[in-house]
Amino acid sequence: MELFNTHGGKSADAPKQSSNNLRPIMKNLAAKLAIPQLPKSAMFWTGIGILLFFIVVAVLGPLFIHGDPNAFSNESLAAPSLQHLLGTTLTGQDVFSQLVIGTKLTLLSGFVAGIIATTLSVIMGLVSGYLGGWADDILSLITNIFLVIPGAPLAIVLSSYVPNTSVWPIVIIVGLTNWAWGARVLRSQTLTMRDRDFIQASKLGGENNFRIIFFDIMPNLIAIVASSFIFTTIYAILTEIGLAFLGLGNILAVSWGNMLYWAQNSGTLLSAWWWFLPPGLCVALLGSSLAFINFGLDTIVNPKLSIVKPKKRGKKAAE
Amino acid sequence: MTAQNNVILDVQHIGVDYFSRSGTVHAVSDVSFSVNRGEIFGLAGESGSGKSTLAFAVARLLKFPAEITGGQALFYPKTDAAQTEPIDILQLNKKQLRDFRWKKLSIVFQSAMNALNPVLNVQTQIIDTIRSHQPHLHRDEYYQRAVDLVKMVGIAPERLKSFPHQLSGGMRQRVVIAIALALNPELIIMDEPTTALDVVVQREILSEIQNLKKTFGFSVVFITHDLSLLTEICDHLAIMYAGKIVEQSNRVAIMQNTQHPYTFGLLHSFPSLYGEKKQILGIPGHPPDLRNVPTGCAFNPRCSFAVEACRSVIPTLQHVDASAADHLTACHLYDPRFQPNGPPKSLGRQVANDDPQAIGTDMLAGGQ
Amino acid sequence: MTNIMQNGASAKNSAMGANTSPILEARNLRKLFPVSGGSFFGKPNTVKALEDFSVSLKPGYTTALVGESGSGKTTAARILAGMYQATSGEILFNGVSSKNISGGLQSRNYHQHVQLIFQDPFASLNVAHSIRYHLARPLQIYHKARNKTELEQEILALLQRVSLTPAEQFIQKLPHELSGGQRQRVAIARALAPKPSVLLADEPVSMLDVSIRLDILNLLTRLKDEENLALLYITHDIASARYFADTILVMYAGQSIESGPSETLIKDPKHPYTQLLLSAAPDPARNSAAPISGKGEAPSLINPPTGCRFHPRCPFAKDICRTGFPKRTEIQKDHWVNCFLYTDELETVSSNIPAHAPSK
Repeated sequence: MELFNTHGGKSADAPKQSSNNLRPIMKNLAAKLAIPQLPKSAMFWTGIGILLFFIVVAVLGPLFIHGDPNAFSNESLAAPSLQHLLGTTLTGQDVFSQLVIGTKLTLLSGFVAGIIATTLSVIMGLVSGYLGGWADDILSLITNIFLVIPGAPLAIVLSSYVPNTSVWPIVIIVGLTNWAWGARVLRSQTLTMRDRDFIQASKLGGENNFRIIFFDIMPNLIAIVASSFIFTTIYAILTEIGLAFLGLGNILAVSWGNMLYWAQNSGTLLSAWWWFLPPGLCVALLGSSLAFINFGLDTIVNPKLSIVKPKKRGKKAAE
Repeated sequence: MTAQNNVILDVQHIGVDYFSRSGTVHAVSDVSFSVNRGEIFGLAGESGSGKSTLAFAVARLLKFPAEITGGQALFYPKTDAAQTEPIDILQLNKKQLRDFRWKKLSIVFQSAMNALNPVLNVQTQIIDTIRSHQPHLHRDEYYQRAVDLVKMVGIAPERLKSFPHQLSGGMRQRVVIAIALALNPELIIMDEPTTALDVVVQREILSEIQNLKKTFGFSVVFITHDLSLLTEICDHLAIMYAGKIVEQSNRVAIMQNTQHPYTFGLLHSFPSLYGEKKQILGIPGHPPDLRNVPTGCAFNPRCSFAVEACRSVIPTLQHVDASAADHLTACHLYDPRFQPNGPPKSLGRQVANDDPQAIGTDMLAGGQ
Repeated sequence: MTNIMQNGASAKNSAMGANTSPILEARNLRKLFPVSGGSFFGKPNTVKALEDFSVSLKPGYTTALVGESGSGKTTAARILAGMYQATSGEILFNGVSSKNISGGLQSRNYHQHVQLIFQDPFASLNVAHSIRYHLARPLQIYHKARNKTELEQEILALLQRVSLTPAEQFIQKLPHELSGGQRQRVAIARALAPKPSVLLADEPVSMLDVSIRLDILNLLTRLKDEENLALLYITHDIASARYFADTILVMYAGQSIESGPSETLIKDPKHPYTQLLLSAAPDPARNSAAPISGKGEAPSLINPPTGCRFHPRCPFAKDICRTGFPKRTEIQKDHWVNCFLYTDELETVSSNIPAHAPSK
């Protein structure tokens, strides 16, 4: 057992060799995200593969689609054929073109909302967890309020107030209503880290709170931050599609949600399967790919899932 | 070694590998030793020496990714008519192992808190252990046995109703020892049983173990990193380094006729309370990384006597002193092929200026 | 701002005699930690971690704080390091009371001069940062380097001072690539970076492999001599205290009970607990476990015994031991003990009775 006793224990002293020439922070990221551990998880790499596929489609797809995906034509509700790979809509728009073009907006809005929410949760969680006291009380109160507000209904209400000229208001609303859970998780993690020796050592070294929070604590929580980011991104994508489906977004933008909205609106959900099935499947696939990635990250975040069990000498209390 | 009457455990050529993503690691390679009936046998070593792995292997407690690669561990039970042949612990099947463990061999771990169930009181835990092997006793008999056991290890029977967290560290370790004694085993493996305890409590537990041993006649395999403690309580001891035994003998010979430079270094790593206060140096360098063990003798980068052969030829355990039958050492210092002038007069640490491996570990002499 | 280093230079130049003035002094420190528990409506429980603790550290000298778990030795060190605030008592740096040090004990102004080395080098380094980062930060914070090249040189020099060579190789590494001993060297280098005059080492080797402990302790001694540091060595191992320290202070359950020059104290221990501690220390020369007096374990500090906290375990306990804490008795020069066995006048230190004094 002592072979793996590298995290403490009475006498753990095995050095680790590495000939890695990457910059330390990159090396650390690799160590933190446990890159050598990940290839074992087929799920994780499946998720990465699917996500990469969608990103490639979003970036390169538009190069192969000529013409306006919203352009009407006379071929109403044509079944899939060589000319229209996925058939056409009621107004004769090419479903395949819409699907490809829509990928970009769906992905981008999901990630932007994810970034907004994650940034907020990192700031709120780490600051309240580290500072404690009244700062924690206030920040925790705000977090708790946002936690109990039902996000989707709020988004529906808010989005009905903002002008539907672009997709971004919804992105921002989704970002602003989905940070609270991540903040709570990060706060509790920060609480456990606050009294650790290396943080105390930084304090004695004269570091200020800002540096301790964002340069000492945050790099240690990067796996949790990443996992929380992916989780919020899934949620953001689903919320946006939901809102679009209800017609609350900019219904003229080309996105998967709007495709579903128009398909539903035209009353052809039962006959023209090629209209709603492709965007529906894409949503499901993208969602599962992100979920797979999250499961992969989970094995790192949750130490119980790894075989390496450090054994720790009992800390002396009250000294 | 032939099966003498007084041998209780005879371990032959046992090896243990760990499988990791970066390759296979030989945590224990080709280790042999035997424990006499009624003695305390000490296994000393630092982190990565394989001492705990070895003990876990003998108790068949290893789990994936560790695997026993070979050898045998013969256990000679007390003479009873049915069982004349030794039991090879490594060949027992699951059911036999269940019967064997605790009845013949039990284990005491370093962390009593981890060994005890936090939500059950002491009485329940002791009785559960007895019941799992002797299921048909009466309730009162179980209780009486539990009372006897805690009394034996110096705990008042009122404490039977206590939960582990209500006991002090020393008391918890006593409870763990009581549970280990529950079925009168012939051999107890103790893995750093006193490491987490304060010196005074450690001393008490040690004398408790010695008293119990005298009363019940069981044998102990005592594992620790603290050689000064071992030399005090053991009859025989083996020093391990990088998965191998480097020196093995009785207590007095290890202390007074130290043969391996590593043993010598370890013995001189502890400042003494008595005698002259003098500069002591310890051992340069650090214990090896088992994924990258030095070639030849694993100790060679830290050894101030290392010669060319130490870097290429793996030394084996040998009798280096014909007069000491039970003293085995794995060191080229005693091999006339590599040391034409014979072994050095003293094993005291020599400062090797030209040894690049000593860098980073210089001593008082002053900076670079 | 009071220049707390005013006397520093003169202290270093002065003769290393017994009359060297202390650089860091603690007087009558007391520390209570509130803990959860106790009755629902009543006052919360307190851990009485430290009672009437005094120590003085001199440049160029090592003082060992010896005690078992719960003796208060770590609490004392953390108060001295400015990590905890003492409930009462005074700390003087270079004769300046902590109240007059600008920013107090929790300020850079103080941390620059008093640094702490943690027990566990596996916990005290940030796994997310390279060795360079660990050493660069204090150098930057305390303005020990003016530019990048100077910073790099300072870091390399620090690594060399703790014998981590070739320094160019270590500077790049991450903590997990180092062995325990090497990590502790980095932690020592980090503590040295602000050029402190006091080093507090909290069990600096107890987490390390046996064979490398001496090297770390020898390194600390060398640094102490080279830089004329005042070194506080906290340990549970009284034999190593004898070896490395000039003075030993023995603590039990939050009370300091005996102190003296290390040789004297070990050859001629006065307090029954010191005697117990010495008899319990492992010693290869002993044949079998020697009988020891004073069985049992250190008490809980939430509800410690009244009077001398050792009395329930003490084979010589008298009635007075249960009610009062003995005052300091000087056995000979610099060797004192708090024990009624050595005092005729049955005076007690009033601040310690009753043990259940209302907490502030």
